[in-house]
Amino acid sequence: MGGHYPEDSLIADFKKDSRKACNEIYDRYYERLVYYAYKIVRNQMAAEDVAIMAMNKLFEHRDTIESLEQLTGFLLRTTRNLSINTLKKETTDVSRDISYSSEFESDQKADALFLESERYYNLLQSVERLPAKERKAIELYLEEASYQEIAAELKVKTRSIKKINRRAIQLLAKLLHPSRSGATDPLVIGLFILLFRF
Amino acid sequence: MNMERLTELTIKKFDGTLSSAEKTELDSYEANASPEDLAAYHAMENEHSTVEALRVMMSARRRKEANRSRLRYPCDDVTRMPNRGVRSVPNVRRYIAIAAVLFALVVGAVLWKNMMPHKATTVAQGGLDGLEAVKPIGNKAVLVLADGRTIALDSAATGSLAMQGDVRVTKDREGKISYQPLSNMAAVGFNTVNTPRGGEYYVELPDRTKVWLNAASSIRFPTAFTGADRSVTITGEAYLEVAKDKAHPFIVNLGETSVRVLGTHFNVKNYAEDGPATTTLLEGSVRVTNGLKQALLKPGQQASSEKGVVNVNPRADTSAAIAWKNGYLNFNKADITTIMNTVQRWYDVTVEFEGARSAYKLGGEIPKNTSLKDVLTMLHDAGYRFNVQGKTIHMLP
Repeated sequence: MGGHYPEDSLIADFKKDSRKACNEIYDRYYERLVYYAYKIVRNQMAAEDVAIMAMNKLFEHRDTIESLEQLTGFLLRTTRNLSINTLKKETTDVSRDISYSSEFESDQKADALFLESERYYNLLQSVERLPAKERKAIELYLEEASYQEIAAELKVKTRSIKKINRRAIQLLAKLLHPSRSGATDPLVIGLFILLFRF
Repeated sequence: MNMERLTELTIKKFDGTLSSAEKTELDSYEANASPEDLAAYHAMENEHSTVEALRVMMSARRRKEANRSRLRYPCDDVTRMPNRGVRSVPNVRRYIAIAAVLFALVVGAVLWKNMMPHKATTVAQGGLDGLEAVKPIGNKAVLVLADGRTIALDSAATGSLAMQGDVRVTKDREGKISYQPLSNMAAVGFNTVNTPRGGEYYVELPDRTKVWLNAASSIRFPTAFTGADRSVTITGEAYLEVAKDKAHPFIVNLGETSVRVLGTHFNVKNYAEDGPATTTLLEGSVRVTNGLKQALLKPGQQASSEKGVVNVNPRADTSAAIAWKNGYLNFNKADITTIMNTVQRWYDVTVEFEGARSAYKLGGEIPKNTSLKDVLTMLHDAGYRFNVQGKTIHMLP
């Protein structure tokens, strides 16, 4: 995603109202912004609404953007502020204490949250790059289908689901870079545990 | 503390809904747990967090293209005419679109080919090239007010659209239509939102019920719900998330069938050309009535109702039923007539069958913004033959 757009001209084109550049920016940031917003508002649709609003605000303020870092910063700050505002307007019966939203106002938390979005996004990309059967098995697992249902949907025997998952994990581990200390990314370990539990 | 309780509290922690007593419970567990237990707890947290993250992003990705139409590009002016067919698609996206189609093809082709007899290889391929640009229109709908005035919702400016008695109809910056009563004594009139073929739209009713309308559909509703129950009339297909109000049951009228709900998420489909009305329940509970027959649905069940008969499928494929709302066209054991009915509605073309129609069932799922050309190519590869003339597709026997 987004590997085909020449980096040097992205910001320049964006400032020149290029629709292609706008789409490129949307393609790159959409999922991470939705996740970021979701961590605050805890609602899928509201999170998507916030991501779109933040994107539109960015487009409105394209004149003030000079670099990719600035663009990222703008999107994150806007997403955070819109998310917190959405929380404040919440009228459901859910009772969150006041400290919940104030937690997100700290810059430190904001940075940590963005790093988290990045890492999960990388994991998502890796999952998407798996071969079809492995990817579908993970997708179905995430939708909480039982192993029988997954086997039925993929039309394979239940035993081979475990084989597929194992293969998926091996491929995933290959795709993700180990951290400097040599240990595997804890997210991969998380997925291992998930898939191995059966 | 057992794992179940621990999981429950962790979920609340993520949601920010821990009570102070529960927070104390969790904190003291963490402080006093053995290293092994603590490691297991963190692993569980990690797992929960990973699953949640992937779910959220995958779910978002499915609506990525539909959400793209909510972007306000710098070069747009006020009337955002969605001339998707004219836009030149960059290579990368065409590749992804075709890859998605091919994937569906690969998955479906084996099934399809096993069921299809081999047809003659003489092909009426002519006329397909012009259809490359034919794509669904996307967000497009017309609002009909109580006095008969019409407003095109996709091109209307944001802000107040109209006053209906004491109720203000507004369109927000994301295109969402909602109703706000300005006083308690709102005089009630009826409004209708119609989507054309190839269009779809999202509306919020006066009671905050959320409605997603599919192509060639409509919903008629009062500008304020003042009666003992909340009654709307729907044609075509819609997915509803009904606002909870136990005192006022929500009733959907679908011609002969009516669906009664209290607060719930469900999909209704009643296209005249498709035959029976279909009600699919995702959450909550609904009662489906047709003539004298009734059925009470539980989540995961689907009712098919027509002419005084209500049949319930206890294990329905709910994600297939609402795939359209998430940006996919989904066919599950559909015959060619059903498939071409959907193609007509979604691409605004006409389909005519010449000679006998095959009764073979097909299955598959494709992204909603696939071009008509790609859809027809898929059908062609599955053994179907047709002639295309302008906006009419003639299916050959």
